[in-house]
Amino acid sequence: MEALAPTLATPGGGIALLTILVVTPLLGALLLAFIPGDQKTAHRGVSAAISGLVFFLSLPLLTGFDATEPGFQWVEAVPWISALGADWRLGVDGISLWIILLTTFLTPLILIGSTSAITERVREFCINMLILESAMIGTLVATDLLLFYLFWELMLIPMYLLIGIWGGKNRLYATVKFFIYTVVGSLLMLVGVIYLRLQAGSFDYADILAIELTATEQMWLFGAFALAFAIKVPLFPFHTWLPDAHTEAPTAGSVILAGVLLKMGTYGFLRFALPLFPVAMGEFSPLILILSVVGIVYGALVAFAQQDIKKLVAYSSVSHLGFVMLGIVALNQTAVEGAILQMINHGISTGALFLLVGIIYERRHTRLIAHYGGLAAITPVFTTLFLIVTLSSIGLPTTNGFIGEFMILSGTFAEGLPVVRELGLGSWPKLVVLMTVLATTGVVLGAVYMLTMFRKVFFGPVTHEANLEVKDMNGRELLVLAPLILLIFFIGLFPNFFLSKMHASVAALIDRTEPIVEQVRDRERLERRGMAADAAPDIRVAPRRAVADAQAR
Amino acid sequence: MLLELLQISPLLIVTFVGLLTMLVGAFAPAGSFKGWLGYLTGFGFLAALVAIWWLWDRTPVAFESPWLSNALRFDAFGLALMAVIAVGGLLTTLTAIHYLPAQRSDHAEYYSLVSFSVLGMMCLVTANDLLTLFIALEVMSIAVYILAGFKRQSPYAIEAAMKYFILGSFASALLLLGIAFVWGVTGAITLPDIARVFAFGNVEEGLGLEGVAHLGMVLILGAFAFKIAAAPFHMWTPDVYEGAPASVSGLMAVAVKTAAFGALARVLLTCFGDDQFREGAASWETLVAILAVVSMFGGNLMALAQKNLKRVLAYSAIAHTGYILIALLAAPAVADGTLTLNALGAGLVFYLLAYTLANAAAFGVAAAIGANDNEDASDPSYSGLAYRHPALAVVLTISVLSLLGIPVTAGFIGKLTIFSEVLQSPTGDYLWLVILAVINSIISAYYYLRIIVVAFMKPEVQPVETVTSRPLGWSLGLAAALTVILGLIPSSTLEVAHEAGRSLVHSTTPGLIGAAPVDKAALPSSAAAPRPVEAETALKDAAQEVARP
Repeated sequence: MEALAPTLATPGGGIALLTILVVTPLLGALLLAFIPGDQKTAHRGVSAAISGLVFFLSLPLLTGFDATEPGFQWVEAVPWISALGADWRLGVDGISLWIILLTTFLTPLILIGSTSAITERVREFCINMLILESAMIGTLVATDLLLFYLFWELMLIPMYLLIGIWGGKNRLYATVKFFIYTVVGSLLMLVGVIYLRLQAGSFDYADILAIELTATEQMWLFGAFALAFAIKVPLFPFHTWLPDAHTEAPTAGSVILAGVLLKMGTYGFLRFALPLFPVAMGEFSPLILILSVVGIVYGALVAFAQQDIKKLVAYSSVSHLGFVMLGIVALNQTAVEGAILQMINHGISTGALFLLVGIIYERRHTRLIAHYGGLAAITPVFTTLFLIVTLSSIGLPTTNGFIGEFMILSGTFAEGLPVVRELGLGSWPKLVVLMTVLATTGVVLGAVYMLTMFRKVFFGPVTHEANLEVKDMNGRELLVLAPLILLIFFIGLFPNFFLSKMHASVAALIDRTEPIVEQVRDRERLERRGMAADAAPDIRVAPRRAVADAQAR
Repeated sequence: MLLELLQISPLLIVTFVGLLTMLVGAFAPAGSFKGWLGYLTGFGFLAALVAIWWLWDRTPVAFESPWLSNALRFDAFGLALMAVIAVGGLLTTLTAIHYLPAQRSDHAEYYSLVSFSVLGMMCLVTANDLLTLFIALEVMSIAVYILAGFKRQSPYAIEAAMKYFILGSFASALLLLGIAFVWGVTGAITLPDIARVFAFGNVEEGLGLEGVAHLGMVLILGAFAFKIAAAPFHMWTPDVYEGAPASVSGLMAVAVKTAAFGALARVLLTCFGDDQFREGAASWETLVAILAVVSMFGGNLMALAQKNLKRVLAYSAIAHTGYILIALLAAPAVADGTLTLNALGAGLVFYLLAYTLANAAAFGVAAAIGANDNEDASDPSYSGLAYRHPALAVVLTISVLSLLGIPVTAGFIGKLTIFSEVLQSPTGDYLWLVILAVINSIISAYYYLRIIVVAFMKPEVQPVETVTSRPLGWSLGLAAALTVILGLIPSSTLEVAHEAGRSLVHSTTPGLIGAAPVDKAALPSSAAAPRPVEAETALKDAAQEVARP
């Protein structure tokens, strides 16, 4: 291994690190299929070991990452389906780096954490989790549109089975709803992918980035892509599948769903919807702004009304991901970096919350807030950890949540939406200010519902005798949660360690897209468009790089 | 002579196997295990596959005798579909070996009938004139009519066979009438000649002959719509698929459909490739688009309500007919000013292969749960399949996902290819059709997922007992593995499919298309065919005959 270390540490050092990351879990799943089904311990051990190995293998991404390089690193390109123009293209940049690491970091924790929760069909469970991990990593590193789509759809199946087989009472309804919702989005995206392929001549991300699309084309394609991503995020009003899926999923499913799967939506916006269709993004960004703020406030209010802890956490996800979307549409360095950081934060804190809820559910087999009370005296360690995670979810300073939300809100507040930055655009700028203020109340509401829940569950008198028997956390559970707790503080105290790796890629993204987005509602352009609508076809808006290329030629 | 025998060896092998099994079966003691004839038949299909592979580099095969070159056209398209049919036949035959005894219908005739129907299918996709086409269709159909009622003690099977036979005969009659009309107008019977007459023969106006030719085209299309189970000609499908033994339903779903689609594509794209049939109100493009939309919506919406695995698969087969019909509308090939011919891309051939694999596996699972004379494939009969038979459940899942078109399965690549081919058309005429197809895929997700739900997530209603059979396992394993492999590395298969699709144009009308290379091998056949002038005189004769009161 040591001999490999130097080569692994350098980007593109001849070793197909990303392919190894994608393939290792799959091979592990294959290996598990050959271990007899009744050897549950072996399955648990092997799957945890494999996902641990994947995490270890993903560390060179961090150590060898060149923070000054805005483009893709560890690039791999191998011909795949030449008849269709699709290649096996992988790469990592500052936008995907941390989400990949989050995936490889969370998966072993989940596998260890679900030892006592999953006791039936353990082999299938472990195989599912490993395939899911492989698909998630693949989605994040694919730089070929077809490959991306392939992994994107591949994520669906294990998740579908995860909820449907190991889920709660109402699991069949939840899992079918989850699948249908996501499939609606992704199949329409497929039409968009094919259209882009026909325009660009290949599925290569760089080729597709270089094509010029008319404003009308951008609108339609953006619609196809954004719907898929918005459902996955989930952006209000496409969120209704999420509470069902979260509530019915086993703990492992909830953690992976909150931790990584939802991020695929926001990641999709950053990687595809924004850079490929900046004009459409500009046109739609006020709408997305409004929807995300509605999501923030609505999610928080509905969470407040929940009786079920897990459902409460699920709705808090709707609220938190509203912040991420807000940061993305604000489209400036601070806000976008905040959004990416917030994706990680949400994965860690909400993941930890689901794990904690799962732990208490295993002991009492209920998730209703009313069935608890006074746990603080009975389970002090559990209470402490729950409090830390709650505070991180609220966004208390020194925890990770604070940094992310602060960056998003300050970035949005300071610079507003690029689209409405031009003066004299009526009431738009005021709307942005209003929306940011409303979003800020979401932070307060977050504190309200989380702390209320915490008070009802942990403080006050013990109202149910069964609660007196509840055991505190055991060693395995502590082992699973300790890394998450450490990360909460580490990100909260040293955010720059994380942000510094994003700078270059985010700056490049903003450089590319912001000027185009900015001029979408430019008065002159609107007038020109009015005239153009009468006489000429659409104005072609060339992405900057294409213009620069043309000049260079 | 010997060379020609070698050239048609795939057909001869299948015929020989069919005759052999019939002969041996007649002397085999009643009540003994006949499965070994199934191995023999399977081996015959493998041998046919080898022969097809040998012929592939020699396409288009040049027959010396005009009677053979006029009747059969062994081009890449025909050979590729022959291979798909042989694969479908092989997979379903392996399924039947232990399934039939479990259904108390283990008779030797089964295997010879399968061989003869496959012979008919192989001739159908390579038919070069309308008479061969008709005879091939009948050879195929009659064998399948009998197969549908093969479990003769079962009233469902009898009903299925009767229904299929009556409606199928009706379709055959339509086809014959259509052929008669086309022959009457053009005076030509081979497909290239008919195309040539339509392009250059100046079918005289004012005599209503154009209308007659058009009517012939519509009748032929209608007849094939029966065979491919396109809505609204689909009424027989669910009952027949449900009533027939699962291995036969599998054969019908995969091989019969492949053959009928091959013949339909060949007739429409070459014989009726001329603009007069492709444009206007009642053009076949419009009709095919309508059939596609009705089939997709009809099949998918009706499948939503089904609780029986075989019936769901039947309705899904109707929906898939819709998707495959879209492939016929792919962008037209560039031609000189006179004749525009549609060229298929890879879509049709690849999709049929993907569909064959997925459906062979799905019907294979339907056969596997048919132990102890169980004919029922409704939910309780396979509920909780994954508990006792995880491998069967996984195969079922893979095939269902492939039918749904989820990535890493062949079905996804098939859909992708068809959609991109149709979108590639410079005019973008059929974008709406692609979007409707995508909407339909979404609808279909619901009932395909239900199958996975029943197999994986519902508890067992009764202990699921399955046919224990090694050949069935091979068949399922092969189909599932190929489905995944073709989903992951489809490149070379796509290229083969592409060559197959393009070969239609090149081989049927040699020298007519400016851009296409002149096909030397086909020249003797065109030399033997009537010149346009001759065709014209023939036409006038025909016209006078029609005009005569």
